Amino acid sequence: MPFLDIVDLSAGYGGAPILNGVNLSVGKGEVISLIGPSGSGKSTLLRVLIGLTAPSSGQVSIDGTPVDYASKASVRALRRRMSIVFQQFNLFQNMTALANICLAPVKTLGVAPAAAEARGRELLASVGLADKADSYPDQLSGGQQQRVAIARALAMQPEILLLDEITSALDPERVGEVLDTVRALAATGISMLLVSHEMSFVREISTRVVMMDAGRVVESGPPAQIFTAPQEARTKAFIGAIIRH
Amino acid sequence: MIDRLMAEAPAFFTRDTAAFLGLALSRTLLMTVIGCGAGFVLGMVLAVVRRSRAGWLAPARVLAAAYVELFRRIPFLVILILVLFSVQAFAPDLSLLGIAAIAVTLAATAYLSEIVRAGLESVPRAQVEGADVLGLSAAQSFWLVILPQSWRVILPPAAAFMVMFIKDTALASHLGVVELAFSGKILVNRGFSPLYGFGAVLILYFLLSWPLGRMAAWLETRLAVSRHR
Amino acid sequence: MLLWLALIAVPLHARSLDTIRATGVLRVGVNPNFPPMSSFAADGTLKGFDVDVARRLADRLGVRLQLVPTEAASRVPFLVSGRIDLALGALTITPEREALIDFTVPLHSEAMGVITTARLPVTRWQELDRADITLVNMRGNQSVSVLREKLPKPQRLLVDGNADTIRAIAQGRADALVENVDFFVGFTKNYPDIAWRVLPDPIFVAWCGIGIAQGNDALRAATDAALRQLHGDGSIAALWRKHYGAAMTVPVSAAQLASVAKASRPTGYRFDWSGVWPELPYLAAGAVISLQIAVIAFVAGAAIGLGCALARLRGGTLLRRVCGAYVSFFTNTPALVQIFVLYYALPDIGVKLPAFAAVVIGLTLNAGAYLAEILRGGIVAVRTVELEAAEVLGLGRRDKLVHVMLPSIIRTVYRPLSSFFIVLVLGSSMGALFGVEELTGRAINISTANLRTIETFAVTGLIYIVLTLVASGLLAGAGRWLFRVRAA
Repeated sequence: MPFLDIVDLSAGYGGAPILNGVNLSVGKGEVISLIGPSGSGKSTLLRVLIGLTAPSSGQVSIDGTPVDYASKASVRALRRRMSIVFQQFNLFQNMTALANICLAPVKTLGVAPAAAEARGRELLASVGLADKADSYPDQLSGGQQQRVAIARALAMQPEILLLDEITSALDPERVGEVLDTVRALAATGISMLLVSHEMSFVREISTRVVMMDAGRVVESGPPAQIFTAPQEARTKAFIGAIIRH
Repeated sequence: MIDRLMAEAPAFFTRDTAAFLGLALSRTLLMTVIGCGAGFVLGMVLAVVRRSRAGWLAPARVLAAAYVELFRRIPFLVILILVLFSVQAFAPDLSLLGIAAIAVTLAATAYLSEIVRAGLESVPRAQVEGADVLGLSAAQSFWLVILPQSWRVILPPAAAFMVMFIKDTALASHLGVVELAFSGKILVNRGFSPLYGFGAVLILYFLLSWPLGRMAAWLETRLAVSRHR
Repeated sequence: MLLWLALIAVPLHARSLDTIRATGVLRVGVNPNFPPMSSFAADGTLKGFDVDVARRLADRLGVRLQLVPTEAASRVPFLVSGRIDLALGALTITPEREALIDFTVPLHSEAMGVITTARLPVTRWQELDRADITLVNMRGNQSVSVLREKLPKPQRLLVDGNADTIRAIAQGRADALVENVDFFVGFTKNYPDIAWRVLPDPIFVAWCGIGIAQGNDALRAATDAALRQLHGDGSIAALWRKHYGAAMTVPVSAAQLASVAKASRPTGYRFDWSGVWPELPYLAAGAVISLQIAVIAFVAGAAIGLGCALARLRGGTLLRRVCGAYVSFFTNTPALVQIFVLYYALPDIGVKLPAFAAVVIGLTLNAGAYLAEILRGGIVAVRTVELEAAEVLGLGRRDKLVHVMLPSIIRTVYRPLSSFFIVLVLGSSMGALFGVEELTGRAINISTANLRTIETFAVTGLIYIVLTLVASGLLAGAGRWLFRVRAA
């Protein structure tokens, strides 16, 4: 049984739905990359999954339990197993890096502050920022902020992590450090669903690549197949356009 | 003119006059501080109500919006008079100072609510989403994330508003509150030259308002630099 | 607004004689600004005829006296609500007031006469009925309506305090005061250089009692008894002489003191809007005057503000300093006190401004200072990138100003300017405190006559809301059409 199961998921209103019946399964430990032209619904899919945008129809279940996005309790339970990292980091500007990481475990999981802090420092060390615990976000570079954001998401001990274009807002020379962090993370066996424009990285890290267009899954398969021998015309066009660049 | 001032000087520059003006000054300050303090808390409540999304709060949202919109369109003098006479039915023993403080509160609530609202809205939506996906409740995300970040935007105009309202409380003299403006008029009615009576009062207002105004401006430049403290 | 509605349901709080005895405190309303009846002495306590009478009444009732400073227009509402137990302050016994409160036997008489100066060559009060004369009156006093009948022709100046009436004559704003001579003559001592005159024959005599809430019969009986005693042993006559320096012109007669009051019942406060609706046209005309004040102050203030803003940005050191001081002074002191100075102090150096002019000039100077700050902000905010772009495009000085700078400034300052105009509309209500009959002044006039303050001012507040909503709407529309300023 897949860990995360998405069936016929749609979102958006009226004539121009953003998601138009998405079907996708994510197994335990799988790293799945969503690719496709802008406006194809990749980021919206992640937002719907984490409960920031309401779905209009369809079914999402996690570990066999259906998620009711209209129920606060159900969404809260979901967010203990699934976490997200944003393009713009969304770190709390009024807190230090460490405080950003410890906030949710203490406030929502009921972890003792001392234990949360110890774990927070571990996480910071694991993303290579042990010395930045007391820095505020505006004292960190974009890449450092994004690594703190990843550590913050991991502090909730999620079973699946969503990564939404996490390198798009970074200076080019900062992209590498964040990708290194994700690479290390993939090796730990956590499930990941990521949207990225770093195609070589996608090719390297993914267990499966999913091509989306117009709010639907067009094609999915191992990276080698999607990048070298795509089946669908739209995938061919998209891959072709990328490679020409 | 000079002769008159010289002649009145010994009677004017006395401990009694100083005590009288000091007491009036303290009333002016008290009205402003109580009224704007309470107005700030109530204004924040209204701002939070207006931000809420829950369906059952819809009538409260409309009322809060109407209150803020309407009370900024009624002269403070009219609010003072209405409070003076309305309060009689509830608390006939309330002092005139208390009545003036209520009037200041009613007006300040409306203005400060807009200031708080602008501050809360200055916090990017992404911050709310960040709190949301970590499973923080609406209250937690308000107290721990949104409010701490909005002080920077709220405090300077709120301080400037309070400094401005020090001067508006002069209208409470119409109620008979012996605050600074009224004390000047009483001194003049007692026969002192207007130059003394009003001059002293103008100087005291200036000494109260100018440094506080500078402090509000300083607060603005200081808070504008850093986003996190 | 909810507060006002709740009034209907709330019972009134007039305290009975038993309650007063039980608490040991008698609360008496006296005018804080009405020497020699009652006024604040140099030591900050209230002193005067009324104060002494009140103290003796409290002694007779065996309780402690608490004085409550009460303006003329507040006396009846405060009695009805029970905020005060007794109202002094020369409360004339009239049918209108008797509909709302009860009176004791008379405390003193009110012989209406004329106070004027040697400037006005009249010998009898009937000679005052001329259109070229201005009579000063105090709002809330009974004499206002009496005069409308007896002396219809003269112009009128309404002021708020007793001291202000005599000041108005001393400063030449008015020619004569028709009032109870005894009460006002005391203030003439503040202006020893003026040749004051009191015309000999009184116009008529009225009687002042002590006001008590309706239905408070036991308190009224006790107060009546105390007054009879104080009249009988000559205490009141002695106090009158002590404070007025002369005997009461017409003393209270034995027959008046002997009269026994009928029992009364409290009527309670019920909303009655019938006295307000007929006044709507009068109030609406007042709103036009409010708007006039705001427009004049805004336009003139904007001119001053623009000059000041440019001077502070481009002017020499001295000019910058002067304008800076002007802005600091006017933004750090209350507009109300600024107008006090214009209205009450300038006449001492020979500049006699009518109330309307004093208020408009005060608000203009105030507006000039605030608008200078707003405009300076707008000029400073012109973005250098836009200026550089204009430079690169080779635009001349004039084109740069007209096509780049002005549109940018207008877009920045338009909304703050619109808000400030609304502030001025609301601020024009200050005129009421100087007798300008704009919207608030007219509301005060109406409510002192109909005693329906809450109803009158609720309607007045609504008129302000409508007025400013329309003004805001028109300004926002004009901004969009003319300058493409986005709405809030």
